[in-house]
Order: sequence, then structure tokens, then C-alpha cells
Amino acid sequence: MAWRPARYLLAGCLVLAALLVLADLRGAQPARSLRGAAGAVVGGPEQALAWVRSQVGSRLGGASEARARIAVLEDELARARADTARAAAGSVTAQAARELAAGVPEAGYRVVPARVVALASPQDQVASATITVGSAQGVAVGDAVLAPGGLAGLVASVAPGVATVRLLVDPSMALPARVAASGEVALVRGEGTALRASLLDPLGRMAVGNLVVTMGTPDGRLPADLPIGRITAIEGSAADLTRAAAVAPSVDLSTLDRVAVLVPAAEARP
Amino acid sequence: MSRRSVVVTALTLLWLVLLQVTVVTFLPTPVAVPDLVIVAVLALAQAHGPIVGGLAGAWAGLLLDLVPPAAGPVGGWALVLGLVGIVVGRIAAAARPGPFAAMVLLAAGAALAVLGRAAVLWFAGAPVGWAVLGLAAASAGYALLLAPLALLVVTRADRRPSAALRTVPTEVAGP
Repeated sequence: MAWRPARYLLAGCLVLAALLVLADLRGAQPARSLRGAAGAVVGGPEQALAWVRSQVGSRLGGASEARARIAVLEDELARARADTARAAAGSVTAQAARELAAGVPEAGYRVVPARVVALASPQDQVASATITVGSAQGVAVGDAVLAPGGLAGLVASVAPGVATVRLLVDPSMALPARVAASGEVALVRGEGTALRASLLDPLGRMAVGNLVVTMGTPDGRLPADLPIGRITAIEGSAADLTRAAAVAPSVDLSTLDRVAVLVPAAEARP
Repeated sequence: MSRRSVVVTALTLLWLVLLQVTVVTFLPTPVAVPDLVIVAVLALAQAHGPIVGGLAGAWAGLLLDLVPPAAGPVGGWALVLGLVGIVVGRIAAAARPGPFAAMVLLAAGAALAVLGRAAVLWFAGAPVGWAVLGLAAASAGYALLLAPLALLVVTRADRRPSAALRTVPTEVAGP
């Protein structure tokens, strides 16, 4: 009987949680500002823990990390050689892709470098990461986040010192995109670990190996022509109503560490 | 539970959430990663019953919903872990499982939490595929590995304050 008040407290908590879910789905602002407030409180401890992790990781796994790094570099070298060969064959796309992949920002954007401090668990069934910059550095919701290779995701929520990035592969992600070679418009959706591009025009041209790039947004928050990924397989024929392609992300999202946020210059603080 | 152990439990869950997102998710384990938070909630539910299990689940879930890089609907994890905490606490209180059965119950609860999370995301409009079954199975496997430690810690921490109560008769347990 001593637990009676706790019973009502529990019932209240669950009802409140259900109401929060509904409020958030209706797009209520308070639900989102709660996340910003939480980020302001635990952002510091998270960065400290991430620092400890990186220190311990580099001490313990120095050799294996070096081996992994060599493997990555060899992979990159092979890809660069392939790109050079293609460029020599007269492909303009590969040239453009390499320039963009180098992280050359478009005019009118400020590049804010950051590191990843936290990742969502697979059990969360969302793909998101916390980075070391936030509203204090001018970062706002909707900004593009780049990693070596191309676009990694978009800023989903901000606190003063940290921001949460929704990664490309998140199941709720949907981005307007283009097939770079043909200019065909497609919608790219996240699928947990891979991406799927649905072509707007079922007769549009695309091929395995084609680069898929962002179309950009009218407000200029997301620039055009950032690499998203390469087509690995095409599903459906030109006779079907819709055609889709499996796309492998340009960025290795499983080992995300150093990233850069593109902040529109107009947004930059004086 | 005394007032002091409520505070200690709440802070421990916050610490586990931070540890989970900043360290554990970076482990290169296959399919999923061990989930410290879910395992802790389920161990508490087994040791203290449905009310404590539900409250611990709701609190830990709220933290998972808010602490960056939280995504998905706010309140989703609080609802799921609260309900799973109640269910596992009820079963444990009714069946009084032995050590091995307690581990299996904890693993089953972890799988249930993953499926509940998928249900919340599906309700929010995200596509949910069959891969969630593999994820639930993997979560149950990792929970089984962590279960002995979690159950041991929770029952030990439970025993200590009561021993203190016996030696210090003036102390009164909280409401």
C-alpha cells in the first residue's frame, strides 16, 4: 500500500510520454526545444567522455587503428587512380566529383569544422550523430554536414555547444537529388545502412556507377552538387511506372569522425 | 527503495545513457551494440517489481529521448521502456525466476524493447523492415551477456541499504 503514490506517478509518466509523442508528431515546438535544453546540459559531459574514449582508443588500439588507416588510404588511392583513369578518358563527372569530394565549399558558405562525439545505438533504429559545434558557432537546423567524400547528413537539432546530425541513411531522411551524369531528378531516401534513389522520370537515364548529387534547396541552406553516393544496382525497367536504384553513400558513415558544417554566409554571426 | 537509492539510481541511469552514446556505440560489435540502459532498466524491474521497473524505464527512456544524438519522436523511448519495465517487473514478481530464467527474461525484455521502438517509429511514419527482427535477436544476445553482471549489481545494491538499516535503527526508509 505504501507504493500507491508511486503507482499514480507511473501512470502519469506514461500518459505524459504518450502525449509528448503525439505533440512531437504534430510538430509542436516545445518537444523540440526540450532536446535543445538537454543538449545544453549534457553537451559538456558528452564531449569529455568522447575525449576519454578517443584517448583510450588511440592508446589501446594504436596498431590496429594504424592498420585500418592504411587499408582506408590504400582504398582511397585505388579510387583516386580509377578516377584519374576515367578523367583521362574524358569524363567530366569524375573531375567534378573529385573537386567536390575535397570539400571545396561553394561561395557564400562558411565551413565550420567539427568532430563526432556521440552516435545513436543501432537499437535506436535512427541514424544520428552529435557533433562538437552548435548554435554558438552559427550552426542552425537544416545545415549540410560534410565528411571526406561528400554529404554526411543534415543538422536536426542544435544546442549552444553541440548539434545533432540526422545522417543520410536515417529511414526518415528524404532528399531531392540529381544523377550527375544525366541530370535526372531523383528522391533519395535512407534505408538504415544504404540509400535508395527513386527516379522522377521512369525513362530517365542512369547507370551503375553514376554519381548522385544534391539538388539543393531553394532557401540555399543545402547547396547543390554535393556528392551523396554512387549507384550500385538498378531496380525496375523503363517500362515500369517508377524506377529506383540502390545507392552506396559516398561517405563512410560507420567510421564518421571529422566533419564540417556548411553555414550559409547570411547566417554567419557578425 | 529509499529516497537516497532513488537519486543514486536516477543518476546512474543518466551516466549509463551518456556512456552508451559516447563510448559503447563506437564498439565494432556485429549487428547491434550492447545496450547498457535497457539492460539496467530490466534488471531493476526484476529486482524491484513493476512500479520501480516502469518508473526507471520511463526516466531512462526520457533521457534516451532527449540526450543528443536523440532522434525520432520525443517521448517514444519513455513510453516503450516504461511499458517493458512494467511487463518484465510483473512477470518477475509473479514467477520469481531462478538465476538462469532471470537472464532469459532480461534478454526477452531487451528484444521486446527493440520491437516496441520499431512500433513507435512505424507509428511516426518511418518505414520498418524485417531487419528489425535480426536487431531484436542481436539485442537479446548482448543482453544475455550483460545480464549476470546487471542482475548481480542490482541485487547487491539492493541488499546493502537494508543491511545499513538493520545496523542503524534510527534511519527510516523513505515513502
